[in-house]
Amino acid sequence: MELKTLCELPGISGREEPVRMAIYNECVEKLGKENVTIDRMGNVIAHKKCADENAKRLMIAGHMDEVGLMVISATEDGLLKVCAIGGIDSRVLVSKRVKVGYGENALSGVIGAMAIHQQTAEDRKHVLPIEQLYVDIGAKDKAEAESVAPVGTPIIFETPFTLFGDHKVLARSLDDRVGCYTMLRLLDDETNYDTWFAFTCQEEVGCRGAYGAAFRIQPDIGLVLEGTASNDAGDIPEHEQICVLGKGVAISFMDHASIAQPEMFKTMLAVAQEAGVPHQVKMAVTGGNDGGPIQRTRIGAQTCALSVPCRYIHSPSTVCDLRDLDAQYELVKAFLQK
Amino acid sequence: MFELIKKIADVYGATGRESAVADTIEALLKDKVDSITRDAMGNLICEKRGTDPGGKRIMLSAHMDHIGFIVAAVEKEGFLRVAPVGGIRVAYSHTRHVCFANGVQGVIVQEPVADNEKPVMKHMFIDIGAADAEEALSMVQLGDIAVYAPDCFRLGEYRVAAPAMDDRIACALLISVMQQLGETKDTVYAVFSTQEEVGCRGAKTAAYGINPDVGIALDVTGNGDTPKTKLPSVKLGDGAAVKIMDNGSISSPEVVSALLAAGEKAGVKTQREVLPYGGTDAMAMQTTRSGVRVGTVSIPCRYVHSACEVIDLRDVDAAEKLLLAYLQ
Amino acid sequence: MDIMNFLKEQAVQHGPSGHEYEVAAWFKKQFEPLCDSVTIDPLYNVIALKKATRPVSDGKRAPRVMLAAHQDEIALMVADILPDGTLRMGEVGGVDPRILPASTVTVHARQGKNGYEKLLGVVGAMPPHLLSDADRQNNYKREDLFVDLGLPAEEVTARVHVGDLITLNGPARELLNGRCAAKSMDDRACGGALLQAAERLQTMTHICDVYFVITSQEEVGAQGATSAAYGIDPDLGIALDVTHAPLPSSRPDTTSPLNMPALCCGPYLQPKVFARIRDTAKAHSVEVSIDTASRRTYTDGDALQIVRAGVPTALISVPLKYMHTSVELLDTNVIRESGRLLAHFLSELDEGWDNDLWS
Repeated sequence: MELKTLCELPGISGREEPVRMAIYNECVEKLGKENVTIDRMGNVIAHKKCADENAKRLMIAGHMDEVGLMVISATEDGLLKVCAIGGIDSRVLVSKRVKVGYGENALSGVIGAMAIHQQTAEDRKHVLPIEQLYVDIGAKDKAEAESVAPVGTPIIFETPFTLFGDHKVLARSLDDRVGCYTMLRLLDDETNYDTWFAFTCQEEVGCRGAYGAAFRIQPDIGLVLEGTASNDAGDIPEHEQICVLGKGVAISFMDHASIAQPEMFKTMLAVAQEAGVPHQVKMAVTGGNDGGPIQRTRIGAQTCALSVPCRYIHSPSTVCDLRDLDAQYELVKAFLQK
Repeated sequence: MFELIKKIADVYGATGRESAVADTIEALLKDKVDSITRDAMGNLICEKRGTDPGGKRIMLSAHMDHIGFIVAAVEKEGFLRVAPVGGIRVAYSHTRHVCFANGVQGVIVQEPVADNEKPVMKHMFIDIGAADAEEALSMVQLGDIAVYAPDCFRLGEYRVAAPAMDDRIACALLISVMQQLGETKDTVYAVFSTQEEVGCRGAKTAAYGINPDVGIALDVTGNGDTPKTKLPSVKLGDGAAVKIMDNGSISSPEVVSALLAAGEKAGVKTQREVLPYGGTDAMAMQTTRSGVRVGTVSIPCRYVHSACEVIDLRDVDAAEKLLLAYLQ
Repeated sequence: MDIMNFLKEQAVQHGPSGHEYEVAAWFKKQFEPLCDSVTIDPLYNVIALKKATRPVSDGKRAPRVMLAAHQDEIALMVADILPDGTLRMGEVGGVDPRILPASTVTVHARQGKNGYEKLLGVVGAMPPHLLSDADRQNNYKREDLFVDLGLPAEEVTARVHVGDLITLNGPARELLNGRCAAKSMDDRACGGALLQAAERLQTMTHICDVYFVITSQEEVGAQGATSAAYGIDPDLGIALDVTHAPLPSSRPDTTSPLNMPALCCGPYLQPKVFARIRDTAKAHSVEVSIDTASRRTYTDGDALQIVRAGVPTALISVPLKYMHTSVELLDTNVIRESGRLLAHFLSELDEGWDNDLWS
C-alpha cells in the first residue's frame, strides 16, 4: 500500500475500522488468510514463520490509530462540541478543517473562533480550551446536528497528504502510519525469527491494544516502530532537539513507558552500524508507547523502540522525512536477517 | 550485618541496569537455594523448594534498582544533560558525587536559575571532566545511567547511611533470611527485582512467572520522627514496620495478621505502617493472574531518595527474625 | 427484591477498599438463591455464576459474560494516635475532606482489649473562633482534622490501633419520587442492578454463562476486577458504575440525567457492543442517555478491557448526585431499568454476536 493511501484512511483510537480492514486485506494478500487475524481488541496480527522451529518469537508493533476528536454533544445552534481523543494541544485546533464521520457520508466541518476584532486584549492572551471550541458543520439547529453527527461520531483533521521541500512529507496521521507502512513492507522480507506483526489499536489513549496483542503473542523480543516527536526546527539548542529529521531512524534507550534492556539497545545500534543504516540515538526521555505493555506482559520481553522523527506531532500537520522512513525499514530488515 | 549491607549497597545498579547487583547476590546464594534464574526483565529469582508438595508458593521481593540520571544529550563543551530514572529529587542532587557503571566519576550541578523559577531536571548537568563532546562520548554513551556514588557509613551505634539503602537494605535482609532459612513446608521464592522505582515493572513479570499464593514485598518506608514530619507514624529503632496500606496497595488483612503474629512469636518489636504515599512490589504482585494476597515488611528509613538514606540496624534485625518466624 | 430495602440494607454494611469481607458475605447471600454457584476469592471479589440455560450449537462453548459492579466504599483509616487520644486519619479511596468536619463515623477497633468493637467518633477541627480570617477562607485539610472518640487517651491506646478502619455513617433516607440517599450507593446500587438482572433471568433463557461479579478495590485502582477477570477469562465484559447527575453548578457536558441509565461510548468501549445495548434498550423501551469518555472511564471497565488477550467491554452508568459523600442520591427506578436492560441484553445475546466486531 502507498504511504499516501495509508495516511489518508481515517482511524481515531477505538474507531480504527478503515485502517484495520485495509491492513488486514493487505496482510491476507501477502501471507494468506490462515496467518492473519483480527483479535478481540481489534488488533491485526499477522504471522510470518521462519525455517528454524526454535527461533525466538519476535513481535513487531506499530499502531493503526491516530489522534482526533469525538462529538460529545450539539448546541441549540447546531454546533458540535467535541473532546480530544489522544493528546492534542488545543492551541493547534483553531481555524482548521475537519471531516466528521468516516466514508462516503463524512461531512466537512471547520473549527472557528471569535474574530480577532471582537476579542479583548485579555482574550488574546488566553488559550482557548477545547471546551470552548466548536466544530461547525453548517447544521441549522440541534436536531439536525444530532441526526447527522450523533454523540460518539469520530472526527479527523482534513490534511491532504503532500510531498514538499527536501524529501519531506506533510500529513495528518504519520504517527503511526509510518510504522504500519514499514511493517507492511517487511511482510515481504526474509526473517530468522518467528515473526508476529501486530498492528495495534488504541495506542494514543494508553496503549490499550498492545496489552492483549502481547498476551496472545508471548514474544521474546518486541520491536516498536513509531513516529516520535522531534524538536529540531527553529532556534533550539542541539541537546534539546530530541531527534533530527533526515538523520536516520531514532533508537530509544528509554521513554516514559519502558527502559530498553541495555543489551537490546546496544544490539540495535550495532545492527544499524554494521548495515550502514542512517541512525541516531533519541536524545530525550519523552512519550511512551506499546513497548511498555509488550515488555511486561506475562513473563516479559526484551524491547526497543525505533522511530521516525516527526515534527508537529499530534497536530493536523505532521512532517517527517522519507529518508528516515527508509532507514526504519532498512534497520528492521537487517535485524530480521541476523 | 553492616558488612553485608555495605557489600550490597556499594555495587552499581541503576534502574534498568541491575545486572552487577544480581551477580553479587547470586554468588552469595547459589549454595543456599535449589535454583536461580533470570527473566527478560533481569529479575534474579531464587527458588527454595518446600517439603510439602501441597505447600504454598510464597514470593518475597526486594528490589535491586537504584534511582539515577540517564544521559540524554551531550553538550559541545562536554557537559552531560540528563533525565531522571525514578523519583529523583532535584533539590537533593545539586553538587552531588555521581558515578557510572564503567567507573566514570562525575559531579551533578544545577545551572543558575531565575529567582522565581523552580529548579527542575533540565537545569541539571553532569560534569565528568571532559573537555568537549567528543571526549565525553569516549567516556560515556547516551543512555548510560549515573547514580549517587557509593558512600556507606555508620551513624552512631545502630544507624547506617548509604545512597542506595532503598532498597539494598532489603536485598541484604532477604539474602540473610535465605542464608539462615532451614527446611520449610512452603516453597519460597526470593526475588531480587528490577525497575521498582519506575513502577514495580520487574516484580510484575516475576510474579507472573512464579504465580505465587502469597506475595510479600520488602522495602523501605518513610518516617514520622524527624522535625516537621508526621506520617507515617513510624520511628527508626521501633522495630520492623508491617504495612497496612500505601498508595499502591492495601495489604491483605490475613497477611497483616500473620506477619504481626510472626513478629510476636519471634519476640521482636513491630509497628503498623499507614503510608499516605508510595508503593512497593506488593502492588505488582497483588493483581497478578487471578489475584494474590500481599503484604509488605518495611524498614523505616529517613531521607528516602537522597544520597544519604538512613536506617536502624535494630529494625533490620527485627525484620529478619519476623520473616524467619513467618516462613517457618 | 425490593430496591429501597436493598439500598437501606447496603448502607449498614461495611466494606472499605481492601477490607470488603463483611459486605462480600452479605452480597454472597443475596446472589445464592439466584445463581448456580457463588464464591469469594482471595481479594474478596464475589463471583456469582449463572450458567447458560439455552444450548449453543455443537462444538461451541457458551460465551462467558462478566458483569462487574464494585462493593468497596471510600473510607478512612487510623494513621496515628495523638497524645490526647484523638485520631489522625489516612484515606482509603478518594474522600473529600470538605464533607468530614462534624460528620459522625464508625471506628472499627479490631485488635483492642475488647476484641472487635465499633466505636462512634465525631470528626473535629480547631474551632473557627481560633482561626485567622485568612484560614477561615480555606477548607480544612484532612491532616487538620481528627476523630474524637470521647474516651481518655489510655482507653484509646488500649482499644484502637494504627491501621484500624473508619467508615462514614450514612444510613439511607427515602426521598420523594422514588429517590433515595445513603452512603456507598457508589457502587453497591449497581450491585442491586445486577441482582435485578439475575432475578429476571430466572424466567428467561440465555446462551451465555453469566458471571455477576461484585468487585473489590475499585476505588483504589480496580485490583479486584483485574484479578477476577483474569480468572474468568470473559468473552465480553460489562461494567456498571455510577456517574454524575446534574447539579446547579455542574459544567455542561459532564453529567447525565438522574432519571435514566447512561450508556457510555469512547475509545475504551467496544463500539458494536455499545450499539447492541443501545438497540436492546430501544427495543424494550428502556430510556437511556448517551455519555462519552475520551479516554479512561474511571471504572472497572478500564481494567476489564485489557485483561489477558483483551475483552470487548461496555459501560452502563447509574447517575447520582453528591458522589463520594455520605448522602449519595439516586433514582431507584434507574436501578430497576438497568437490571431490565441487562436481562434483555443477556437473553438476546446470540451465537453470532462477535462476528465482525471490528470491521
